[in-house]
Amino acid sequence: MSNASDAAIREDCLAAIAPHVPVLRELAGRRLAITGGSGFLGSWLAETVTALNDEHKMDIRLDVLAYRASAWAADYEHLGGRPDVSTRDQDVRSSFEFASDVSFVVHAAGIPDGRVHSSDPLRVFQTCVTGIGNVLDAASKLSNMAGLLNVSSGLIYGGQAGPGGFTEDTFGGLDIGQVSHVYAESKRAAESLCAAYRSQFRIPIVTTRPFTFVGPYQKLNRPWALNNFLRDALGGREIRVHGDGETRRSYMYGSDAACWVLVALVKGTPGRAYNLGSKGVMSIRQLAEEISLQVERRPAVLFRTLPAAQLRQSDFFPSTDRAMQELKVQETVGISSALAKTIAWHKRQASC
Amino acid sequence: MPRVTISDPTLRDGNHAVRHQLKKEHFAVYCKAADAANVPIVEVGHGNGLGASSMLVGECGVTDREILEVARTNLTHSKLGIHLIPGFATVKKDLSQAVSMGVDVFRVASHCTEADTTERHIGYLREAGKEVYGVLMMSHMADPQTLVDEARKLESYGAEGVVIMDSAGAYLPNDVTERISALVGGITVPVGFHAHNNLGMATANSVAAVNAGASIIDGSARGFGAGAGNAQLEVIIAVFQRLGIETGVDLYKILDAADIAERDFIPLLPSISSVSIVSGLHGVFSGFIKQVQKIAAERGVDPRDIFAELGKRKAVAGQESLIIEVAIDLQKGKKLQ
Repeated sequence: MSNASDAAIREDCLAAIAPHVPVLRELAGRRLAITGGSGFLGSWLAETVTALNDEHKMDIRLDVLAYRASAWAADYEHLGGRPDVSTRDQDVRSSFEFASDVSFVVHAAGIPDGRVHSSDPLRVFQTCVTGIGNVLDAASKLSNMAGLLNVSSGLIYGGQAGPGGFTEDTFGGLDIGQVSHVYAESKRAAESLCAAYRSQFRIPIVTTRPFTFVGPYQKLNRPWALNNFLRDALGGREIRVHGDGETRRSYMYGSDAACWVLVALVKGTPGRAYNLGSKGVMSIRQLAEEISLQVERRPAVLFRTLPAAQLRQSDFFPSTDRAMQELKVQETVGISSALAKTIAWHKRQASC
Repeated sequence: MPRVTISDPTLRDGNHAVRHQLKKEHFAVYCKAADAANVPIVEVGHGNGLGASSMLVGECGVTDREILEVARTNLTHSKLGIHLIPGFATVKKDLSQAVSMGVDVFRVASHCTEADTTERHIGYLREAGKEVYGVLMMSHMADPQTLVDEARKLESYGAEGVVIMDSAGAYLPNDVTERISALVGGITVPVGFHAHNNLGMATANSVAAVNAGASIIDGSARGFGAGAGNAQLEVIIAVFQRLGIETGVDLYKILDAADIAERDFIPLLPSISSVSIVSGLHGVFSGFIKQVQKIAAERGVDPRDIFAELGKRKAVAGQESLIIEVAIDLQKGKKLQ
């Protein structure tokens, strides 16, 4: 990772947390553990926590637990090599303990990749359900437990989004017999287990339900439209949209996502869930066209590249009213800027 | 008006029918003719696909590189397609070469219950910006729900279409309707169908597939393909025209292409032989026919009995060695009688 990239990301993190520094002082001098810490959200959380330490003297100690935490530390040495960041290779499917002085936990371990949902649904289920069970067991042993944030998924809502997006208390049906729903269903089960632990062990658990993200640290080989469009555009190829492009999504930038997570961790009401996503709704068509505009060679955008693809509109975006009203959070990076930052980061990565 | 994409495997599946001995000039002349007929995708290669030339399944008369060079030179409008099965085709040796040689469409195939084996190949090709379909072979061996589960894997890996193959020519139209309908309802990418004619149903099954929502249909000139052959391309183009199904293929020019194929490289037109019927009835891969006939003659056993036993043992492509095992068992049984 280049220094220039560090500086750009640091700037984004500082902009996102600026209004929340007083609230985030709750974390100062405490130890925070993040499971699944090597993923997109975990990496942005590490960037944000280290920004709080360097620029606001918070002295937060960060434990990054992940299936391949040591590989992440090697890849992102500017994070993994810091004295205030420690890493541990930990599969949450096995029982474990947090360091005894951990006060805050963000449980972000999960497998959102649809390829794994299809190929290895058992691992997906075990990571979600056995994983949260092990995290909650470990958290229940902490004497200074101040807050646990469970990163769930916006997919648990099922069904179709209303005009204003999915709200935190509207639940549709999921066909539990379909393997493709294993992630959403196991995230529901994980939330249910959180409710049980909160009730029986009084662990202060807040839930956040992420939707779709954009930004540095996002791998281009992931099976989502945004990633595919960026990969093709950056590779100098045309952008292929298989449907008519009318399905709608919203994309939250990484620094905003990390900031909202930390604010929810310290300020969220235990037992309450908050959507984590952008209110900037756009169609897949608009996304593809925006990406094309931001790449020098302006790749063509092709729609319905194959005949009779089943045109099913499956909109997926949140209502962010609750989070914005109760947590007083805002987005600081819009989609055009987010795409520009993401494209610039990938170009810098490629040149390293 | 429904629209389907025609994929023409004359120069790939047809290679099975001549023990993979199609010559460079055959690839050249047919590619040129299919291109003139505006066939959307022309598939070329060894019968079992890229990297498959081997003693086990048959050595190809020309190399993959030679085939791709000739095809690429002679296709200007039509897309150049290849079939590949992970295991035969490797990423480093075969796929990277095919990508660099300008192949447009990659059809990554697996046995109908083994879609997991395709993830790396599909991922590599999508990252290379190529058009990729997933293919489920011997699809009659899986029930509709299993096919949907496997197709979802292919879609999640990045396949932009999923084609099911009736590799044994075992389907009747209702079987096709049931499976294609389930797939169309179960995945979001286009669904395709590849017929074999063992029971004389290839055209009817292709029509059933389109009626059930398939939008990619395979057909070979004169039906040139493994065993009893595929759906006959020029026939399905004509039938689709009658049914108001748009293909974009020029009928007269595809009739010309089929004439050229028959004249230049189809030594024996596909027919529904007795063993083909038995192969279809028992759901055994059509590509086994030549080897079954050869081994049956060598061992003095009835090829129909070999097919019946292969069907019982659920033999799949790549298990050609099982033919000898079955023949030996049958021989022993004879001696015991």
